[in-house]
Amino acid sequence: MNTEVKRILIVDDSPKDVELTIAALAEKNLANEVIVAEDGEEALDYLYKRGKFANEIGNPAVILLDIKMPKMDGIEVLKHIRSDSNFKLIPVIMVTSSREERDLVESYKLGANSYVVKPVDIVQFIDAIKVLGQYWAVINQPPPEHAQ
Amino acid sequence: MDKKIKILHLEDSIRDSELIHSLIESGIIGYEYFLADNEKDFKNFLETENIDIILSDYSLPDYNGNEALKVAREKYSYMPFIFVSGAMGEDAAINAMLNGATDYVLKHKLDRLIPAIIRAMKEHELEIQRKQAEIDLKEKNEEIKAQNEKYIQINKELLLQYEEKEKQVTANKELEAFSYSVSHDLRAPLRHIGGFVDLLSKNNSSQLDETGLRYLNTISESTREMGNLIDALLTFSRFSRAELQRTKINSKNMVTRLFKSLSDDYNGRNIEFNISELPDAMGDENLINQVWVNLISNALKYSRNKEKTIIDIGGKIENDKTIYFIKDNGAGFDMKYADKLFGVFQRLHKARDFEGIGIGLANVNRIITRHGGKCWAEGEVGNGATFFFNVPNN
Repeated sequence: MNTEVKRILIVDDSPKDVELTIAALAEKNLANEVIVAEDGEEALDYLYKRGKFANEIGNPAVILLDIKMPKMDGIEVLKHIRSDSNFKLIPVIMVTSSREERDLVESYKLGANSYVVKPVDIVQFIDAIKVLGQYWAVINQPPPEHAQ
Repeated sequence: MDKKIKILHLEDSIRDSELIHSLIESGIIGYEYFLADNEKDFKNFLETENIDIILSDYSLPDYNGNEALKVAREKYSYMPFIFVSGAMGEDAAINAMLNGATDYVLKHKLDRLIPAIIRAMKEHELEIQRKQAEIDLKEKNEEIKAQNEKYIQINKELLLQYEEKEKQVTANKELEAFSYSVSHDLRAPLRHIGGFVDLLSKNNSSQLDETGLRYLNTISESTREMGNLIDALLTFSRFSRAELQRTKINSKNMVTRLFKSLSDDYNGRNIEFNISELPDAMGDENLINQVWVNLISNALKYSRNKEKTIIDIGGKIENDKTIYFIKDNGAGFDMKYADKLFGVFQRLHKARDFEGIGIGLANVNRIITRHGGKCWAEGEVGNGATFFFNVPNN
């Protein structure tokens, strides 16, 4: 059983959404090990431990991935994550404002574990993040670090 | 040959004519024999009788075969003309053929006469058939040409229609994309406003007095409202653009089912729901469903302050349309503002009395209009309202 600290990687280009998400996670005491990547490239930098994340260690227990981002969008990032055996098994939750069926289908096809649409209603949003955080970062057993 | 052949014989010798006549009599079954020994009679017979074939001597006292041939050919270019002559000479014979004579028979070889007549008639028959076939063919060609033109025209029109449709589809797609991204982009700041107001009220409530907290609450409420408005506009826009798929709709089933599911939220209320005979409708199942959802929800909503809610639904076929109505005994409305009922975001009641965005009836109106129908309403303040709509039977 993995007792190490559960890291949560948030990939979102909106600092406001990021702040709200962290505030929600904080209510469940999950904010300590949150890493923020502001776009797809930074997300991969974190996973591959390069660039500004060169000194980090370990895989995140769960990734909260937005879709609508500049340069590389969330679907692209998901594709990358799922094509690398080191990261293939990490749970990925699409937390996105996109309600488009196209994005939903693509995400699931590419192996997303969950798809949550950011609601306008902030109470709902916070509840959703709390539930997600609680489940994926506390209750759920993340895959072992070096599985194939 | 089963009809009578009319033979015109130009011959001045009685003996020759009698001989030839008797040959004809024994060799040809149905015939009429006309004898002319001069130009006048010849021309006369040609004019008045429907001559089928001419037998002509070569030279007569005041006339000659070539002249006769010319006359005959002038009028009837295809009539069989056989020279029956004693003395013709090779040159004369060749000339005669070149001038259009069908054949020539020598008087001392009259055994050739009957075969010559028969052959000439046969060829003539064939010629007539050929000419007719030519005419028929020409006619047929013209017909086909005309039809082709028609088809080319129809093709052009279909192509135009197709292009129109393509344009519409593209325009719709663009509009859909626009609506989507607009609503999308509008949602994000809303979420942020709501989110940070929430954080404010959680983190800084100690610094705020009751009024301050109420202000924050109001802001939250407003952002929620705006979210609903955006959703409503999106839905309305979608209803304006969706393709109509017309099928036969069992209105009675639809209404009964909807009422059941909508009134589940109203357990504890005294609701009487009467559906009289509802004719089937021709329309888009999803959209007409939406119409009834809106109308029935409204009826339930606006009559909730009455002790007993009574809702009547009925319909009938009138000429080429089917009319439906839904009557409630609720708050009603002032007829003075009846024309505002179906406007977008228009309301005739205060939000604190009856919540709502004011898009439901606008949706109904949009959908019914797209079906080619109309909607209207009658009401009295405090005394309920009746909403009508019709759809073509088509």
